[in-house]
Amino acid sequence: MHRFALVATLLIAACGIAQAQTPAAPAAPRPPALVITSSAFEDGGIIPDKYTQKASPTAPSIPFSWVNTPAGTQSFVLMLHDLDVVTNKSMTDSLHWLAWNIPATATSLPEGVPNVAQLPDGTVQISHRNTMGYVGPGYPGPNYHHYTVQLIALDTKLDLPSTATREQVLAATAGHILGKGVLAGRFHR
Amino acid sequence: MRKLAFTAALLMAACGTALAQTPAAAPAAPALRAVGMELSSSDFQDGGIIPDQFTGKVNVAGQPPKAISPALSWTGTPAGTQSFVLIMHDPDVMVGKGTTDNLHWLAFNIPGTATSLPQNVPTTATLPDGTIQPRNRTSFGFQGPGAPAPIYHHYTFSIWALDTKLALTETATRDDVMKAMDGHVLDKGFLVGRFHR
Repeated sequence: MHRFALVATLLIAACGIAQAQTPAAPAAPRPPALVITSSAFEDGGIIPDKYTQKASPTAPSIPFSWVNTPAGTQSFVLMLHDLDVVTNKSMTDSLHWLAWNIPATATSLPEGVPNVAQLPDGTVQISHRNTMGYVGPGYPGPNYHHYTVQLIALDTKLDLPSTATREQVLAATAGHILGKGVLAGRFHR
Repeated sequence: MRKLAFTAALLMAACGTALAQTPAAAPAAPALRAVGMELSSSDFQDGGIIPDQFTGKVNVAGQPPKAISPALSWTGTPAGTQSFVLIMHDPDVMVGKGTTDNLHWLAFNIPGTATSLPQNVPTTATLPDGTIQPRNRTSFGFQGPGAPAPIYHHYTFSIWALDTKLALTETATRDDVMKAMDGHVLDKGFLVGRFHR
């Protein structure tokens, strides 16, 4: 009987320890965050020349893939911009790629997305300098510029034509963002 | 005379070749400063991981934050700089379903002569040199990164050289400051650090 009590006490104590080690469960567990990666470079690393203006003014776009699409996603927006660029003393930086109405079922963009205003799957693309779609990084250096990619999951599609500006697209996402994934790349020539 | 003409033609052809070999992109490139501002930290590498001592990981609930700001320094200050703005934010975060992300540190009217910020800048609304630090989400000055595991967030530090000082107080919001900066940005430098608990 004594022995039984000791075993029971030990078991209860062990349970208590196990419970204490379990992290306190949040009231509403957050779903896993949207994560965007590229097979071409590591997060925080250097974008390979192949995808930059060092290789060609028409270098192929960087391949991207993502996981953990939030429930209820209707479309994605993907933006690639060079944070370091100043345009006419303003707050505007340099846009290298903005694509919206990427289908919610998509989990990747292949290398070399065609430079057309609209893709067969409904994706619409713009960038700076009147180009439709991806423009590779081109900063001459010698310091690195920071090319940040943002993938934004929306609970809607955007009713905007390919003549829309970045400001219009970003304004249209307000109130509709279900999740975000960020990937940081760096480059200079 | 014929020989001279021939030599001239050769010279011109050579010049033409040299011109043709100059990368066509160079003259067409946007007007970027040859050497831009560069922001760096002795505490972590650009694109790398922010050490724990600068993050919310060292904070204890119910006590003042132990996380200290990392040392920052910058080069390439453009001529005519009157003040700097420092912004640190976490672009991975969304607030509600909106486009706002998480502000971790905002400082403006940093003197135009400054080239660095030391570790552990006091979390006060104003500094003796005239720098003003409005509130981040909760407090004045720096707030350490705190993203939960397992996904890295991208804490983006930027230093902005302005051709003016900002006539704003510590009650200014990030939007107020960014609006006031517009039209006055001479150059800027970025530094990205990553972190999760």
